[in-house]
Amino acid sequence: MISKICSGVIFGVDAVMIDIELDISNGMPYFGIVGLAGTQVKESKERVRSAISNSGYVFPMKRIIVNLSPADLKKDGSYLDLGICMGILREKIKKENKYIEQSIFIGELSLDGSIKYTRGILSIVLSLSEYEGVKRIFIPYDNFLECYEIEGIEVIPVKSVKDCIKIINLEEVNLREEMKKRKEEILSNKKIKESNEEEYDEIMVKFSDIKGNAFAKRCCQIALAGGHNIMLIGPPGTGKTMLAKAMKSYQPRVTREESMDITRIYSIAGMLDGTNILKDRPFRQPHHTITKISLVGGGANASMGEITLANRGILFMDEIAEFKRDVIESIRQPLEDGYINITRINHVYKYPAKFTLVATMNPCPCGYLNSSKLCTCRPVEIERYRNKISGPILDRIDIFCEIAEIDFDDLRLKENNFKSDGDIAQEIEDARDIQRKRYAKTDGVDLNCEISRGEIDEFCRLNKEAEDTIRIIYNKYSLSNRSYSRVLKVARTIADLEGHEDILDEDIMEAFSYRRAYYKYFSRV
Amino acid sequence: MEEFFLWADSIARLTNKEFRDIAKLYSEYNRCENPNKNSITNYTEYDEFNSIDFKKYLEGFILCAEKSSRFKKATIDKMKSSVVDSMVIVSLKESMKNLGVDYISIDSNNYPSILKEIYDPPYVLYFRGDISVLKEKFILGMVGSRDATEYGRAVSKKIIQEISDDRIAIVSGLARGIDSYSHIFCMNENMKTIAVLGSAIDNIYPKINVQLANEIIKNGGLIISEHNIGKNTMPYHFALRNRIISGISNGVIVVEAKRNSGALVTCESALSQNRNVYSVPGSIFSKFSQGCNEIISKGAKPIQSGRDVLEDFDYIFRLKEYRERLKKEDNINAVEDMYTDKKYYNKNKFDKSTRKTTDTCVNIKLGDDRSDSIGIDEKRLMELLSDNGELNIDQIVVMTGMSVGKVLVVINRLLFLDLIAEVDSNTYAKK
Repeated sequence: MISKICSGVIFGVDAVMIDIELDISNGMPYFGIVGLAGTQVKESKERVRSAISNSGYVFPMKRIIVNLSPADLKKDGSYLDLGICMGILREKIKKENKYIEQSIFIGELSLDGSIKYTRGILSIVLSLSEYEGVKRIFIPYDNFLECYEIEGIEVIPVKSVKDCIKIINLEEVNLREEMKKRKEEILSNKKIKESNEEEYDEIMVKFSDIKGNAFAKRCCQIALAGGHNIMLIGPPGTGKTMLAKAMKSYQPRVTREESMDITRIYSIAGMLDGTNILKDRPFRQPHHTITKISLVGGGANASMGEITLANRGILFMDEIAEFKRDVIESIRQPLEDGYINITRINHVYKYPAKFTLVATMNPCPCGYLNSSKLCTCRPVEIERYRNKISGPILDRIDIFCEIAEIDFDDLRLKENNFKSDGDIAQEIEDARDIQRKRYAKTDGVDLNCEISRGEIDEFCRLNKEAEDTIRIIYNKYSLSNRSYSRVLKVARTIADLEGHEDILDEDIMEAFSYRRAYYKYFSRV
Repeated sequence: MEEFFLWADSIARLTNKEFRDIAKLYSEYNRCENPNKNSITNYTEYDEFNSIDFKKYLEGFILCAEKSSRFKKATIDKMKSSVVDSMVIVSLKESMKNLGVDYISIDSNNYPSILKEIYDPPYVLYFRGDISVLKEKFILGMVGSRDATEYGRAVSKKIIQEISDDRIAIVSGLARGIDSYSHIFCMNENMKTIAVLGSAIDNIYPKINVQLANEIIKNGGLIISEHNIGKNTMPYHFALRNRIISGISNGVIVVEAKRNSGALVTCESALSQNRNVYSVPGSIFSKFSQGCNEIISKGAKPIQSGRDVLEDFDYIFRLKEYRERLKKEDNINAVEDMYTDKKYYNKNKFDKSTRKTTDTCVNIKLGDDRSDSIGIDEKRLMELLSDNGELNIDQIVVMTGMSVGKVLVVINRLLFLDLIAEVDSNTYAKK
């Protein structure tokens, strides 16, 4: 007797549908799996055998062959356990074949027959729901929280093998009632959890907590509004790290799609720990001893790196010049393209990596150049330190912000006309709204920082005075072509923040001030 | 036989002092035989370089040193062990030629006479580029800190533009900062520029300036050093080359110097060589100008424009012109012209009847068309800056009540017009 069950495994950030074919025939008792199964899949036969016996069923003493297709794809992970188990217990299911074909079973079995929490379920559900003819998907009960907002497919949480068969055999009306009950049960648990968590909520840094530094705050606001990569340069103790941390709490709200994208990645990484869909943009802060592989991804099973975890959020590289040179260079391509390809013998895994880079560094190795303390560095050392950030990386940074030490008098200045925290956040949201509308019809562009060279003329329209101004700047400071387009993109964001339709000359003027520090620290005359 | 100098410096490695003492003795000895010759080493009696004369000359030189008891045994041994065949000299010259390096000795016609005046002139100078610049141009030195600020950069640009004249060449040290700016702006004004190296002639230090060195030569400038190819560079070489910078120049301008800056060493040697020292004053709060302000208080001439430097040398230019005319024209006429012209020249400078000078005064910016084109906000910021000296962005935001973005726009406008300058990170002052 042959039965066919559908299941799926993770592949990169997506999932692939796997057809499980089971042949139970007469012969010597045997249980074998074919179809390029990885170690975890091969071991599943022991789990399945125990789970079936311990759930009160009889494991058939027959010749059982399991075939996984597509046969050329290496299958890893324990997602297929439930599918194989259901295939063996096909006789217990009182529904016709068509019902089974429209269903997908995903879950790892425990020896006692219960179904365990598994990472990456959200991504599998999202990917497989796009396949034709799929109507319902059975997932582990504990994973339901991350998936309950998914529409267009029936997501059914099951606790164990026995529970699963019981639910399949329910009538349509009874099933609906049962599902309602389970949903309420899970959500009420979540509320208890949330109320506990609030007390431990991380302390947020606000811009108003940072004294002075009006220039730097403005830089951060623009970077957040347009998704521009930013570098903060200044002596130690001037508040670079604090500013970067404040950027974390001012990240704009996520849209539904973005939040799905983020949650999916965290689900695969197993970093959701039973929470709902993520509503905050990620903020990743790798330490400077990080290796290339843990930053961009790779390794034996082509896992994701920090840049993928920072997708649609911020990657904060504190003291960027302390990172290893090859580590810094490895983010060149993802910074430009917004994704990273990891190539293995059979397949290429494409991980998204659209992040905003926030980097900080000191003006010199000892840190005190141009400050009130004595700098002990030799010019050669300073040069070597700055050269560590190569031209291609600098080219991808839009905003350079120099942070100076604050005088005591400034610390006590009354900051009446500095913008309030609420205003800053609201301006960022508004600017993002404008961008969303503008780029709604353009593929691959969501933010001002992603405008390609060809699209600059279309999106960065200048009025007449602005054109004169950019001409003066271009000639006076002999800008490179690349710097020119960077200035225009930043000016576009400033215009969005200020609510200007076209770019005005003051937007250009302001945009250029965020490039001054580049010429000061990195220009090679 | 210039090759003899090459041997003494590059092969026997005689120090300046050793060579000078032996050569003096030897020329005295020679003068008894040939009383007409007045050269320091009397080499001119052999015009052509050939192996027999060269060897004979070498032996004579060493013998002279040996007979006198004034020289250490080590020095004599050093010379004896480096007696070489003339072929070695030829091949050395060949490898120098391949690198584009040539040399002149202290007895050469091209050796600048002004450099002979100093206490310790190098007896050989190695060079790349056009050596005639040394003789033909009026040379001014321009030195300053390696960690130059934007102010120093702006000042060197302004001064070089104001003294721009094809009769003048600027000499500097090809170091980072002000030195580099001096060379670059000098070439921008189509003037010749001279770089004096502390390292060997084929070894540009810092490496980042290799490109600049090539530019200098391409633009008809000159690079000189007292160290031949392949010689190791010692830290004290850089301090010693400062005496050459001031030695070949008629006046030295210190643009920006911290306390204890290397530029002040040049300044000291310029004083001991009886050269004029000019210094650009800076803010008393800026540590980058402390050295400059200090030497002003010790008596260096503070300058605010290139004119302040040139006025000291006007007579030289005039004299040169008249000497040329004297050669061409009738002597009496020329002298008369000189007299009348001189009166005219004085009148040109200050007219009693109108009480006005015809010279431009750079300090007066009233009626400057640039200030007409600025708006109310810009004027307000300029006023604030003149009242407070220097202000950082935070202070400006608080004082003006404008938003940060607006302040940046105003600052940028003023920067474009060159009315203000960044003196420290995010801190601005009036120019």
